[in-house]
Amino acid sequence: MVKHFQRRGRKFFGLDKQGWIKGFFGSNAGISIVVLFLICFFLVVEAFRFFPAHHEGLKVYRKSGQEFVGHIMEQVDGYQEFVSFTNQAYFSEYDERFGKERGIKDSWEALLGEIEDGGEDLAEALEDARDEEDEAAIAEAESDYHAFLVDLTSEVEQESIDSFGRLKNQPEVWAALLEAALTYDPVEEEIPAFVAEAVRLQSEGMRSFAQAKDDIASAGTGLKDLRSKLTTITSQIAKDAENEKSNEARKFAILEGAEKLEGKEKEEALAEAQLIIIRDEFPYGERVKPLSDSKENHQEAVKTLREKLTRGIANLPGDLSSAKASELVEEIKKGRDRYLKNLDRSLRQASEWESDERVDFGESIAKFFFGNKWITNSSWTDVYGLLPLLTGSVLISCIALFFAVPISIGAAIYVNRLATQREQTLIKPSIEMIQAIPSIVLGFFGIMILGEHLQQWSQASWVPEFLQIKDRLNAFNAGLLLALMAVPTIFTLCEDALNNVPKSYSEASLALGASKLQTVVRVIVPTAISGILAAVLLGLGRVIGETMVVLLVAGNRISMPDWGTGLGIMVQPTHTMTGIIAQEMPEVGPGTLHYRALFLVGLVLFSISLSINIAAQKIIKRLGHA
Amino acid sequence: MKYTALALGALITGATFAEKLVIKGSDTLGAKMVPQLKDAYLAAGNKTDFEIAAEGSSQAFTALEAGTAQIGMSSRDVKETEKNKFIAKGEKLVEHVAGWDMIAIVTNDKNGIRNLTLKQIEGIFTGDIKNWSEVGGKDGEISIYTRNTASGTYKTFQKLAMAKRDYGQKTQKLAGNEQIATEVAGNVNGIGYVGLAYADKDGLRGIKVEGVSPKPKKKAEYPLSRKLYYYTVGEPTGETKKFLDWAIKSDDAKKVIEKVGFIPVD
Repeated sequence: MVKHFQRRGRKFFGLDKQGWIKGFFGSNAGISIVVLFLICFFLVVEAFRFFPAHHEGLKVYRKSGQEFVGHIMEQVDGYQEFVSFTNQAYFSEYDERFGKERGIKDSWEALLGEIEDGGEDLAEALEDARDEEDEAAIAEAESDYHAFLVDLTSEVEQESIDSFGRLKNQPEVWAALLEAALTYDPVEEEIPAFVAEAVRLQSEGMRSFAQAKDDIASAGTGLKDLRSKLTTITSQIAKDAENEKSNEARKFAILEGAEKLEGKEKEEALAEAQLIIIRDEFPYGERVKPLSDSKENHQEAVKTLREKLTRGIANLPGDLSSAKASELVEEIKKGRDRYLKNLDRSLRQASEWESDERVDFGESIAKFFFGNKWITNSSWTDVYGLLPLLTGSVLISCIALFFAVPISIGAAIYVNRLATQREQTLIKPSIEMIQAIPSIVLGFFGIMILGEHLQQWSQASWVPEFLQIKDRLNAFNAGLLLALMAVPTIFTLCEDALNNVPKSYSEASLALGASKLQTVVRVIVPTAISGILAAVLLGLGRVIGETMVVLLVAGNRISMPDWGTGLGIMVQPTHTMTGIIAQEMPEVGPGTLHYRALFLVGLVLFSISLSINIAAQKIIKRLGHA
Repeated sequence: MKYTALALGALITGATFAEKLVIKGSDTLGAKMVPQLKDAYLAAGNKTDFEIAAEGSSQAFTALEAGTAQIGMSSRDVKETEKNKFIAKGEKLVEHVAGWDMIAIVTNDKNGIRNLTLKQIEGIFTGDIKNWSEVGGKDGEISIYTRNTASGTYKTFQKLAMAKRDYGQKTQKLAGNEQIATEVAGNVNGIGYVGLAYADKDGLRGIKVEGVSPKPKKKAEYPLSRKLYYYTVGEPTGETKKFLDWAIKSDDAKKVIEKVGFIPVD
């Protein structure tokens, strides 16, 4: 048999020896192409089925009235910013003007808390004794209580009572507080005169601001109540609608199970199955009636909010001692008109909401690609918007390339053109070695060491305030590590491109009297530019697809960057497309909307990588000598 | 043909004799408590192979449904939609209370805040309150660290502390308790929540909620305490039953549960 097979010209399964060898190698190539094709096909199919399911979800969002409540939520969220800003301004001013008084008041209250916690039983004994008017018992209880107070005041630490250090430089005030505590009577509950004076001073001094603050803080009460009420109702509607979908399967399962039971148990199971209603359409119309009825309440609540908020803002004091407070008040006044306009717009949208209005299919697509929120496992409704993830990926890639490109191109030029033979044999393998570091190790390094140090360095006085790092895990930290990962890719490809420049070019340039530097800058680099560009693009491809480092180090905050902070967005935490897939994968059940959303993100990522690769090849072809 | 049948037979019997107990789900249970219970169980002379994987409570139900685990660990009770999947297959999901956990709110120990009300906690985690000065502290933007969406604690916390509202957009979602503890300990303006077992770390302070500090003896008063669960498909039998009975009721197990910072069922 073997002999036959080896004989020239003999065929086996219709193929001769050459044919078999060719077939073997050809099939290897074929398999990779088939697998690639299958993966692409699967990815595309799974991903595109997201849109119909998403459309279904948006329909439920509208039908169940969640959309209506969504408008209210938006209004409340915007309003909460004013409350937050006003509070910050108020307390900033408060600290500036009455820091000492605030310290006295808070410390006295904290001290009182300690006294009441520890001396509860003793205080009761004293009260009982006084009620019974038994002189001896009173004296004993009083001396017991006094002993307790002496113990407590000698042990208590200023730091734990005055926890914000407002009385740090006021030892005489602290001493006075302790003294007052020593003579404290738990039955009379009298407040020491100087504490009362401090309270009076601050409440008088802050009166007009406090009034405005309370106006603003209470302006949204009605709207907030409406929100919580309607949230509960609409969540229930959406949940019931969702549960009803599985009714058919559940009924079937119970009936089938009942077949195996006997007697009473069987009857019970049958009765349970009887209770499950199966109908074609969930009756949204009648369920959302309370919402349509609330439209008037909503108008009313918004009107109150508008009036009180405007009044509160108008009453905010103008001449403030604290710089931060005046800045915040300024911002509040500036933001008011924009908010009121938004308020009216969403009020109009809410009043136009109809449960049975059609949802365009295009909305399902637009909300994914242009949505600026990604909220999953929500208690309210899941939102899949790509933008925060896309901006995160792009931001981190930009940071990475910003550092990686100059370093690797510079290194490539040096190694290829200027270095001695010995330097070459040292530098090249070292840079290529970086590739051998597993990304999980880099991520670990980023969490444990780099993050800590970057944060410390960023506190240096020459670093502008917006670049000071608040969160150790952020885009900058991740970008630096990714830069390190991109350097070998860009370096190696760049070096290849420089290598491909014909020797005659540099020889001609040198012969004409150009210096080495001139030759590099004017002749070599322009000739190799297409290869260098392609190298940068492939480096970008490497960076944007990296997962482990960004998942560990980028901080996983799914929100659009605060554009207002300018370059400060670099040191903010962010999330990426690769990171979200890795992070949320364990929780998704196959076939769910969330599962398809992750596939779609994967498809977007794949398309980006693919276009980068194609672009790199095009550039080489079009521009390239190299 | 004969050989394949033999090999197949050997495989099947091999699998049944190995008595491998696969436990999957919550990180809160699976990171410390269950592995230590396993060690104590084996030390008590039981011969069982264990495989423990802890990626979040949702994993418990997907794994039970797929049949890749005998016991699911969860730090929240099962959702309706998850339950329906079992019902639709004609199976019954059985719940066993594994113990109590208290979710501790932790801040950096350089932060002077000692007490927060539930309302304030809701405000902070939903993003309504943005600065420490709003709750009595020093000026500083609050950095919020939460568990990621696969975690049962993520959901439970929403129920217990946030009036079921969604987390603010500015929250950072981290993979585990330990990571949250590390980040908060390294950030003066940080706040996060962790299982009680993790609150005792250098640089962290477990603060009072509504004036009650997170201590085991106050589990009934503390607003953020919850039950932890094991789940099985159908009433447990054989090795699974033996382990669960031991892990829930035996005194040895209770000691382990207390040691890792949870509170055993009484």
